Amino acid sequence: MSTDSPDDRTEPEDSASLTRRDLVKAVGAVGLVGGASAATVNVDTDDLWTDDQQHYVGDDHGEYGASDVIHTTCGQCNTFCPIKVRLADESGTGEYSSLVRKLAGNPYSFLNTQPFSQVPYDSDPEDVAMGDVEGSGDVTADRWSLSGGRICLKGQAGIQTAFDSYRVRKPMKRVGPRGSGEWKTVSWEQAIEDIVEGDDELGHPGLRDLWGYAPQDAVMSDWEAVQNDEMDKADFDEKWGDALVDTDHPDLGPKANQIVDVGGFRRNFIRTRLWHQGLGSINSVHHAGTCGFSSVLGNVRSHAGKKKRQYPDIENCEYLLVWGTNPMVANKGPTWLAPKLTNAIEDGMRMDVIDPRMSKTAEKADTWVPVEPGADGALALGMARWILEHDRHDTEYLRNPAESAAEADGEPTWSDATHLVLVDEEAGPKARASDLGLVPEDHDLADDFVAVDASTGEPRPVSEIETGVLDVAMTVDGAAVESVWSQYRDRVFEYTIEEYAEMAGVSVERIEEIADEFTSHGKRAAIMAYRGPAKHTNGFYNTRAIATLQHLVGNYDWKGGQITPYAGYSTMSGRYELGQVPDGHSPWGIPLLRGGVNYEDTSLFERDDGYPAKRPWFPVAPPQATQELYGSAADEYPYGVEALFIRPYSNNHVLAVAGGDEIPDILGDPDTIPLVVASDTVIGETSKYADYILPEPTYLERWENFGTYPNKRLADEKISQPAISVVPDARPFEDVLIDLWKEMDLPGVGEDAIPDSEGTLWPLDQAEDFYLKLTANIAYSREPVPDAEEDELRAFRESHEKGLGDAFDLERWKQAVGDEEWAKVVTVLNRGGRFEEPVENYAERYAEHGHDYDYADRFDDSNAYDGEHMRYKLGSRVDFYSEVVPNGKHSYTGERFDPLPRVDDVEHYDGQVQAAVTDEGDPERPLRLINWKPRTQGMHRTQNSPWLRETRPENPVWINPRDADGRGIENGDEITVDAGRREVEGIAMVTGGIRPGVVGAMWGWGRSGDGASAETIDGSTRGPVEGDGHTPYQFDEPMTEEAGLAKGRDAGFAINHLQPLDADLGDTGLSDLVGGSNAQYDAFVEVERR
Amino acid sequence: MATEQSRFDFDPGFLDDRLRVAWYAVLGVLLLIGGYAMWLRLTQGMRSTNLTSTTPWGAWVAFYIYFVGLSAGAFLVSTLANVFGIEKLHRIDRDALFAAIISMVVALLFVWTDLGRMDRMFYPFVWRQLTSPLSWEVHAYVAYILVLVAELYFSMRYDLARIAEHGSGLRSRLSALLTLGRRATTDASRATDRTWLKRAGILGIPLAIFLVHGGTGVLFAVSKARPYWNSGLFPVIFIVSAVLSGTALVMVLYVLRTRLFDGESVDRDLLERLSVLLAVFIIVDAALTAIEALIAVASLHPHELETWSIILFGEMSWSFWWFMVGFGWVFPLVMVSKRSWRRTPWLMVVAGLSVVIGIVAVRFNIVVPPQILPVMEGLPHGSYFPSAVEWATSAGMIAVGLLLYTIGAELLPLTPLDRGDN
Amino acid sequence: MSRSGEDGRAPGVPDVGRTTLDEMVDHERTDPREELARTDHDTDLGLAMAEDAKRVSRGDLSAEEFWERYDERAEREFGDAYRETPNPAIDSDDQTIDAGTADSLGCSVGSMESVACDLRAQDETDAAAESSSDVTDGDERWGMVIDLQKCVGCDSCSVACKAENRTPPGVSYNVVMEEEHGEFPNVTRTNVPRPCMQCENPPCVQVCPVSATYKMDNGVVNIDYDRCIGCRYCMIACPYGARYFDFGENYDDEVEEAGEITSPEYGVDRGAREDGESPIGNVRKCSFCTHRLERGEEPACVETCVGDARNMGDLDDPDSEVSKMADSSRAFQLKESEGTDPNVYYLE
Repeated sequence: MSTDSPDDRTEPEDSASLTRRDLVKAVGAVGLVGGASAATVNVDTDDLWTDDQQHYVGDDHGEYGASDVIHTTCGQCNTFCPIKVRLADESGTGEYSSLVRKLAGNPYSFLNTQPFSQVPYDSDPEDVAMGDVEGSGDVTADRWSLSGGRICLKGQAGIQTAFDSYRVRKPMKRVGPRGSGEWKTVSWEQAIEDIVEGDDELGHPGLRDLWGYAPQDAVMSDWEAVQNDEMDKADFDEKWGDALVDTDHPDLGPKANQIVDVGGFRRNFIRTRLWHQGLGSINSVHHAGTCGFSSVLGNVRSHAGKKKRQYPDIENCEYLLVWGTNPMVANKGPTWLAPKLTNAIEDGMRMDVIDPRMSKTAEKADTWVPVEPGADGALALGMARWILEHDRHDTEYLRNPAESAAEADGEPTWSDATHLVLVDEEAGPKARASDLGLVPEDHDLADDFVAVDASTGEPRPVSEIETGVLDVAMTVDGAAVESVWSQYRDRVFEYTIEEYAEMAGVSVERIEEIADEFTSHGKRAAIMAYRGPAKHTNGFYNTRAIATLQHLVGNYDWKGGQITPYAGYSTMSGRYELGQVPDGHSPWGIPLLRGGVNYEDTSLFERDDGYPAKRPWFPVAPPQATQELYGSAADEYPYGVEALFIRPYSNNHVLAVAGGDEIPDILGDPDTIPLVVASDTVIGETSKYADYILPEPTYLERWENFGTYPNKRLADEKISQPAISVVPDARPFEDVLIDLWKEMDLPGVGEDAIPDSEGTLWPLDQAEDFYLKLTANIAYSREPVPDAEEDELRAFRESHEKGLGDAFDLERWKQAVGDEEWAKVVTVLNRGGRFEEPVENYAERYAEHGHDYDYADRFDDSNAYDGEHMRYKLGSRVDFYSEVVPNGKHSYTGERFDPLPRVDDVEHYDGQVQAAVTDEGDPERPLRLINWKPRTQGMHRTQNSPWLRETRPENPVWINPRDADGRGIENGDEITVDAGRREVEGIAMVTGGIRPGVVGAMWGWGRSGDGASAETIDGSTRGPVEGDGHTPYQFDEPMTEEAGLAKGRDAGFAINHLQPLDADLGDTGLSDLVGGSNAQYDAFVEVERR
Repeated sequence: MATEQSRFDFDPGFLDDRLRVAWYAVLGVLLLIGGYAMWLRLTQGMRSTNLTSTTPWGAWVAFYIYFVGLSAGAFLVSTLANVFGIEKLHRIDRDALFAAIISMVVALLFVWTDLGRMDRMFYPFVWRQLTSPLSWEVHAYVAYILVLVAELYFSMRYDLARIAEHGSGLRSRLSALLTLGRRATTDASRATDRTWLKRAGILGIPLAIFLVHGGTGVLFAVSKARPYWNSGLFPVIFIVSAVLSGTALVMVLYVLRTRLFDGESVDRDLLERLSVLLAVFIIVDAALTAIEALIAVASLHPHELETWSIILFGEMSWSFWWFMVGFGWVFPLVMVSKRSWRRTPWLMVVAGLSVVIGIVAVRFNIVVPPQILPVMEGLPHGSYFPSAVEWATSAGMIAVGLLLYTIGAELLPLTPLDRGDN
Repeated sequence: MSRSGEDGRAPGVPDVGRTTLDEMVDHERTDPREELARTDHDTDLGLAMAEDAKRVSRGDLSAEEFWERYDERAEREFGDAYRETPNPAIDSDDQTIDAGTADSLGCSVGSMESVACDLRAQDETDAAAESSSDVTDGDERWGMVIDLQKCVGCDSCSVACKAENRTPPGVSYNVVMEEEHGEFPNVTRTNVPRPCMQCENPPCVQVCPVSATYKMDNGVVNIDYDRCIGCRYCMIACPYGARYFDFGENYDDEVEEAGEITSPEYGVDRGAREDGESPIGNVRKCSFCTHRLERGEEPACVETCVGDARNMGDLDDPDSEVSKMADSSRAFQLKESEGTDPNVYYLE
């Protein structure tokens, strides 16, 4: 017990008590001197008490709680991190509903808390906001405590995207010719009306007139009849003329195909539901062709299971080869990859980086391998040669011909190395058991691949074989066959290591070193690759060469190896079948971008006299070669575009496409595309050429369901919800399309649009009708989430009322889902999605072990691992040899594509070499210009943020001293970059961190939209954004730009306007015909001092 | 030793009315421009300057330390007369004191204008910081000004009393006010004045040397962040160049007022003596600067080397070579190299003005270059040249000083009435 | 003020009622040996251990020998109780028992070193410390440790700071400096983030004529915007370039409502940014986000650090993770020779 004050005493007041005088007496009486102490004290009151009183210390710490927080998703770059939006207290008088106080990472999400563990999913949002979750660390004692999670600088600056004063505030219609820069505002009703019915003022047709549809079966059976002279061509024309693009070429499909959608995201809703099934148009295009297309396809063709991307299990990887990607600041995304990587390196992982320049990732590398741009295939095959020569490949793994054999070895995947190829057949398909007469046609194993059984030396269906033979060349049943391994091996041995080294510009020793290292860690070595090797016309083959290196060690699905966790929660089905449109259309016909179709197989082949085709076809890629869009429209090849609806988010093609500077001429001519409608947040470089710009809410103001790349160990599903409303008149494009579709009576919107799991039909009148149902699907996926309690429901209501103001209608939101679903929907919304916990009983264990504990690795019931394997697996065959690829032919030459990885030059459509790999080459100008993602910007969309422009005021041109010295260029000098067809001005950054002969700069600069140039709306003109700073001085010397002053929004130069145009096409950059990519790293320039 | 009343004739100021009008017109224009610039400074705040966070101190600070130096220099010259009793200099004693006071007023004007929050200029007297040279300086300035005023008072009171007694009109009434009631014109009262004058002077010397000017040097020298300033010689150089500029100023004032106000012929011996003094100070100043540079170079401290390379060859080199070396040292040295030139008043005025301008450059070269180089490698390099507002406000504030001086010179007995015969 | 001090309790007077007869002493017994013998244990062993323990403390016997001699016997003799409680037992050189002993005692052992580390630069007692909020004790000395091996130079810290503190153009409390060394291909780059170092001996505080900038008890250097006269002397003095003058610029030309939100630096909420009002005309710098720390939140830059390079905590707590990091052999401070003794440490 303690006694703090006399009143607490157990004794009654009047009892005997020692007074101070008694004490003196008692001690005095004894006369005892207590043991004297030799110690001293020095009470220096100066120090203790006369210190200046603290001043200017208040107690306003900006308290906030769950009612001030909305969890949603960042959209500043395409990583889409879960975020925590902290709303500001009541302030200001703008049109906006609420200001944003601060953005941070979402602490519920493991993506934002690396290397620590996220708060348990069931944690009360109030506790999370207050930092009261048990186990989440303590700011004084732990080095990092979990209040908000991590997000990158671009994400931090999202506030300035929402509050960009150059945002489009009302629907706008152009005044004067396209691209005039003059606009007038119109009402939404007017805009919808004009778009549907056409407009005399601008003289454009309306959707109603442009649209036409007919089902494929009916048309094609009639066409069949015409071919067989069973039907009159004139009747056919009469019958289908209003519905088809061209009755002479019905395979082009319905007229609806000439109404084209361009938009990077919201594919579930806009593409699948509205465009494909509502409109019946096959043409809904996203940004793949300009983004990671060839990389994705190179991976897709290297694995039988779904695998688009290469990622390691960073936590347990021992050797990581980062190949032409920059995960510390780009890739998808820095928020979790960077902290995972820095900690893995600290824990002893070796990381080497292959990149022509020293990226932020290469800075942290053990070894930086400055490869010659575009020569990655040579480097990879050189490594493969060393590995094969030194027998460092995992023979055990490679000799498993099928799942059964792999399983016996504890291998989740197996390869096609032992499979036999029919070498004499034109497209070189792999042999099937029935092809070689090993089993009858109707046998279960008829479609099995074939390998030679090592125990018998006989070819057998692979399912029957324990161990296959790798090197095979024989004749079976009269058919010449070779094993894939033999083919691959021959390919690898086409050049010597010295030759590969010469091509790659990397020393033989270095190739041997990394090949050795890569094969010295068993399954715990892996590659992370992305755009660097892929964004050339040989990008597909480069990626194939890199991907197949991992087949050699068979590291798939192994802890510490190559991972493929497409792990999420179901979104489109479950409670509601969101992908289903009652009485919807089925899109068909040749896609505008000519993907997935061989030129030979179309009616145009005959029309145009065979090869070469007028423009490239992409027979083994999906129709997403975005860069071809405008040239195709101009050439009306395969058909013209009547109406273009563009959401420039990730599709600001004028800046994003190599050669995008050719687009304005095409878009500017109304005869080419009669109707162009942009749904945009600002007047961008591309939307500038539209007839209408419709104001979109920014990512902080709208719904979305963004995916996460498969580079995480656990499942997640993100939901974006509106957190604020800055522009009251902005409408998400979904809402606009719903209105348009209703006007046109198209299926999939309005009453009875969405079936639930019972078959009951629900209306679709606004975006939230869709997204709340999607949230319900997420909530009920796997183990349904708990219901939100009273407190949580209140926090939800309060935060949304605070954030959205009048734009929030609780009752309307509730109506979008079933009553019993609402509380679960709130649970998911309050957390910004679903995030799998690393182990069972996580909350309990978290309270015990805290956030600084690697649950996934330390517990047997880990949700990330399954023993030594990943829990979420690829679990499929991996392919050295792709049967699919040679089915495609080059549409200029008619040559088949190569089933194997190969070394290839960078070529124009007509085969002219742009950048040589196989020999020295003879470029017109001496310096190869590469580029990369801006560390401080998310593509172009974030240039509206002065906070970001301050950190790097422009994109200086990196140049090696060896190249700079001869040109008299010093760091910070003003220079011109001459690309032949165009010259730009820039600033030199002289650095040893780039390969001699190569120069480069950040892409993402040189804007002319979004406040970078003057805009006139309703007659009043607003000038461009000027740089900050009150003095005339520029603090832009590269590497010392830390003055915190931004330049204007037009700072720097546009990389893509320096790119070479395709020599044959002349209106866009070069394309990879196999992988579909727009080539972006293949310009040659000369640099001079200004 | 009383003078005869008949010879009492006090009429200071311009002899030539046209000159007076012209002079006031020039000042008026400068004041107008300065006033407008000051309005811009007040409404736009520090945005009106070319200062940045990399280079936070600029023209105003340079002028501030310049005028503090000028004041200290002028004071020391006057003190030579008062304390050490150099009779020859006695004639310009009050002039020097008055100039010292006005210089301090102008210096404080510059400090005030330079404050980010001009409204808080009195805060240093409310809150202090023992370790802050600036905190000490502010107090020292006040004390120093008080000493100067006291000295001027004791130096002038006798004459003021006489003017009050014998003169008439505005001057007489003003003089009466300024005697602060001590109207005696006896020898005893004069002796008292002398005693106190000497005492104030003795108090003033350490104040001027150590606190005011050495202190201003210390202001910079304590900044470890800037090795260029962080040297022991720094305060010394400060004082030497202060004395140099003070000497030059006094010389110029002496010639000008003697010719323009008193209409007398210049005492060429005195002039020569002053010009020799000037030459000595120039040589010492140049020598110290050279030593400082050598020490810096010998230290091989990268920051110092770079600062010096900026001064000598960089973006500021014009200021160093043309103004500091050219106007400050070489030209005046050439001017005083011949005896006949030394005895030519207008040449000495030119030489003096040249030094006065050269020392402005010295001040700029002290203040700016160390702020061009970043304190940490990796931070941006600074750039600085005063903005129009800075130049114009500076001109205005200097004009205020000139105006005050002129008015004083027109109204006060800044030259002893006894015409030098004691 | 509570009479029993700030945060502890005073001991209480024992409750007579709880005094049981068992605890009382039997007058009869006189011989301690006999008394000890009555217990079940070996008296001589106890006495011998006590005796030898004294020899150890005199230095006549080494701690190792002592434990070699007694450990097993003592365990056999006294059983598990022997391991139950911490016991310094031996006065060894560094004032702590050796690790083996600690193990055998089943207790954790700090060391005098860690206690001493705690004392470094300590200039106030607990009683003097100001208790400032319920989340933190108020007696912290905040420190930051930045791991340069991990810093990826992304500037997320810089922008997080802009967003948290809403600083105007040209004021960036944190910057990330880059250094490049070497020649192609043997190039290295280091990214050095630079907040305010919150120096223990801050030159900026030393020179401020009005004590507007001063060192708070928690180690953070404060700038009193209501007192600062804007003389910028502190900017001249700061060896790290960590101070910025607020020239009154703003982002209004391109960002709506840019000045509506300001940060309650040092817990003082000034409301919306207004032309001519402080902090315009004042000098500004990183405050270690004290307003967040007081709420129990990491500073914005630490919270968001994408390389997991930034760490925050109490340097006065020898057990805090940052203390240990700041003590590691990799730790250094910027410009150590300046004698400023920053509270921001870097790990090489």
